Amino acid sequence: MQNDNKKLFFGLSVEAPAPSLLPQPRGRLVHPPHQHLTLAFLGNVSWSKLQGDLSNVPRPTLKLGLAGFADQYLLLPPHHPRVFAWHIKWLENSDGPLAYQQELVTYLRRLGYSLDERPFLPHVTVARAPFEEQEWCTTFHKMPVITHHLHLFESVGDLVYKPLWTHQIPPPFEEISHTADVAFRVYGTSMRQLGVHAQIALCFKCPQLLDYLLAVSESISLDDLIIDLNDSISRADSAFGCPLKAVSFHGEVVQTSEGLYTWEMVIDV
Amino acid sequence: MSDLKKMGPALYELLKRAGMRVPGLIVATEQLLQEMDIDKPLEQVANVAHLQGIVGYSIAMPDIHWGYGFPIGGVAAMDAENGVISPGGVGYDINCGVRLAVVPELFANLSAKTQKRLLERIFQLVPSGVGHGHSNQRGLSDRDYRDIVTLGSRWSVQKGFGFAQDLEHTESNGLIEGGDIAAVSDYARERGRTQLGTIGSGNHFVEVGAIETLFLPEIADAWGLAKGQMYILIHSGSRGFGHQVCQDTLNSFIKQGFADGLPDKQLVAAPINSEPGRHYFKAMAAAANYAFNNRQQILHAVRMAIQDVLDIAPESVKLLYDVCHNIAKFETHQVKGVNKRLCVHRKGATRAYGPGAEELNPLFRKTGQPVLVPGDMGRASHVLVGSGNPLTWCSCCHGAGRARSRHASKSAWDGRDPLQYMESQQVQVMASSMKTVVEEMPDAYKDVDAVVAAVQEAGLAKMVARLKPHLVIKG
Repeated sequence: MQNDNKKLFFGLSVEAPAPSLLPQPRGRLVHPPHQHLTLAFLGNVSWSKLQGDLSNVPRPTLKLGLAGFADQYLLLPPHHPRVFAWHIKWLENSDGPLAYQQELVTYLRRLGYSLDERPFLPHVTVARAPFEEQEWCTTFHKMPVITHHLHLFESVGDLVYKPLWTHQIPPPFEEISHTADVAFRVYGTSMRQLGVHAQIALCFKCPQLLDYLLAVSESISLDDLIIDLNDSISRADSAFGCPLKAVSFHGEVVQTSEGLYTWEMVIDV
Repeated sequence: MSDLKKMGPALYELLKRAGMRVPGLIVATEQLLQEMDIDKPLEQVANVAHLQGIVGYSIAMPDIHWGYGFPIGGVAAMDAENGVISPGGVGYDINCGVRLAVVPELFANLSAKTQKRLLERIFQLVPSGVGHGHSNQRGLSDRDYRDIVTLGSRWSVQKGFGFAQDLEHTESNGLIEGGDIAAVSDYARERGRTQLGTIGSGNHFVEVGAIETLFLPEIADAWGLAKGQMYILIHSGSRGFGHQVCQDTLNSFIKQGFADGLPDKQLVAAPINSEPGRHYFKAMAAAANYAFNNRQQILHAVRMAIQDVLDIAPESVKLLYDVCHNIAKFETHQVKGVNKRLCVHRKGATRAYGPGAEELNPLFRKTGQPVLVPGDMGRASHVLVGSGNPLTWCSCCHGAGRARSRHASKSAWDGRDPLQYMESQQVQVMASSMKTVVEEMPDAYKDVDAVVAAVQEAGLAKMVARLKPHLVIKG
């Protein structure tokens, strides 16, 4: 019988701002399209067998993808690091990935797959050995991230991971075209979440804005949200020179038929 | 486009519909109309026509594109007695504008090595880039601010940044009367404290090049422009100071309910004759005067660079003119045969007084004022002479207008070398950020030649000279 084994794992793809916004230490980088958060590593398994089981894989119950930021780095394993990774602080639904991971692992074990018994340590690998440990640690900066795809990945080598199967989740925001300035369509299951996602969207254009994140109240109006976002931008501009100038009072919040709040955020640059 | 009715050469009327107090006036050739993404800007032109006290038309220049409330390239005049003043009709970058100076040297006489040295020296002396201020300066004191906003660019001249004659060659002599620092928030003052004399980022620049073509030799000669002559073009505004003034006003006006009933919240406007309206004007004038000082100091730094590299005395580098293209000004115009005081909003539009205008210095009163229209950093910029057309309240276009989003520009230039391409176009670029260079590549902009041809055809201004950039500093 032909061997159709592949090195497979389930993971959430992770998006972070364009590399040009980040300091670039040297090393074996996991380039942005391949960055992910592993949920369940299956190892070398039969692709055709797993393919047959995919339709029954539990899906995350998230209505929207997650937004957060890399708040600290991890050197793994701690005593003899071979991986430089980000630890992610999710701003909403912080238990979501853990709860889903446990559900997924339980399902896969029931199918007979042998999985890592160690406690789940969610992380996003950014570089693999060899790398200059000191350089990576000293140049680490907080970085906004979002995730909105569950993939079954194949590890094809050279830090390239190919999605073989995808479950799409609507993103927390997406950049849209605007001739003169920058624009995002932002989503939320509540006004509060919409405000959180709007802030992370701004951080995608200026990661230093992570130091100016504001708590957003559940009952905030769009006008007040815009005023608060601009307050952050003003303070940031005074401190270090923010490339974003102001969030405009453009548009209204619209509720979709699925009950999501959506808003077109336009930012003067 | 079925709502557009041709009125004359490069002039179309946007027919009045429900809510519009006046019709719209679109300045554009048929070709430009077909090429541009006109729907959203036209909607904004129609929305502006809802504003109380608007007189004449809601006007759009041929470089029109979608803005906040007002389109960029929009002009609207309000009755000073019963009309409104709108921060959206001025823009975030209050008194963003352009100044042109000429150097008594042919650009072609500069060797490649000298050109590079000049570019590097200007880059050293003029801070550019996001938030970049003068790191080695203490920043403006509150006393400085008080003087800047009441003296305009005379303050910089008194401090040794330039010459008295520069003021006569600046729109409104470098001063919008009525500026009051008390109307400006602490935030705005903090943001602007170390940014005076800096370019900023985005589409702001210092450009050095050669006068390539003369269209009206007599006027060019009167203005001291000669073919092949070296010029300096500066585009900058009121930096974080002005942005914050606009933001503070928008926040305040919206909270006070001045946007109620308007088709677009960003058109929010207060009655000119109200405390909020007067407060905004004082703050706007303060920011406008900051911007005049900003460009005055940038020119001074460029004069120093020219002295260092070319051994040309600063006083020999003559300022031709400095224009605002984001401003609201009180002007007197004829309305149905009667002189009327109007508040003219020009957002991405330039004043274009013709011969005889009283505010102008004797030279420009004879010829009409210079109108400066930067294009993109690769192709051309233009100098025109104003025709004083009353249809547009003596207003004209301000630039080429973007044709492509920043995101699309980045995709288009991914994997390509923009600096190498610019060198192939005989343009050397230095920038604080490559990201800015990619976003500002020539193909991101409309063709400025077509834009100025439209304003000439419409009778707003006449082309005097075409300028070719060779050395460009971007933020």
